[in-house]
Amino acid sequence: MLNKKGVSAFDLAGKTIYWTIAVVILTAIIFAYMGILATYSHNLISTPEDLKAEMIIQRFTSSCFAYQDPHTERVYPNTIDITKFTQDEMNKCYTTDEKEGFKELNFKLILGGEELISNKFYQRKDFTIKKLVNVRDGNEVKQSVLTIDVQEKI
Amino acid sequence: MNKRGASVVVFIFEVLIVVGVIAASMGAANRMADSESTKQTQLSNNVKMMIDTLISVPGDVVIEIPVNMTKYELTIREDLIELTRNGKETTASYILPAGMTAAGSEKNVERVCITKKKNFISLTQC
Repeated sequence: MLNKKGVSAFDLAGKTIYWTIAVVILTAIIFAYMGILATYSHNLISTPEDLKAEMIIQRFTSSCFAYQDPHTERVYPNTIDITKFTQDEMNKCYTTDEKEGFKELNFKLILGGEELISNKFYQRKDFTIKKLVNVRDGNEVKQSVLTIDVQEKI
Repeated sequence: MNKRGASVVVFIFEVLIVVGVIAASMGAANRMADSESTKQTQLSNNVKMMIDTLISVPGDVVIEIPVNMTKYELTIREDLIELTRNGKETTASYILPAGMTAAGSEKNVERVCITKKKNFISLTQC
């Protein structure tokens, strides 16, 4: 059937349906693309949590709990002085903010039977990092595994 | 316009729309990848990780930020890094061990070093 301008009603209906579908699909594609871009942008600026954790964990093994020779004052990175491996030393080494600390990385350190936690560790383990360390107890040095449970931002 | 001519016009119109959408999308992607705010956030995160590394090093140490800092103002406080460019500020926080302090600011200097001396972390010109 043709109207006064000679355009078929079927053609007109077909184009309307076509453009309706095209607009819906194009809109969906644009939104999907915006989502991909947002994810890409987030990935560009975010640092992997395990890398952040590794950077912080170094202080436990190389500084805070590290053995220091009393005569030469040389610090032995990766050698843990068992007398320093205390909750008090942990609190001095890494204490997150009292109110907002749960938004930071928190840790549970396990060495032998001893467990130390940072102030906002709520027993939620997101991932675990294991470090092979030397443990100095008096004059005796032996190898052990330091297990570190990491709690991400809650 | 006959039916065939009309369909060619519609086809050209469709191609133009698709090309326009692709160009706009690519432009947005490029702007996002090159955006200064992304670089600034990355830089403040990198400085934070450098400070975390400094904390774990026993003894004194100096490290240079491997970026031309002429366009930036970098300030470090007790638990915060502030990086400013053209009035836009990004921050990153870190946690110092008890007894350790950090302070310093450098503005529009090309080479900036982070120095740890005993229990004090500061910024210096390299």
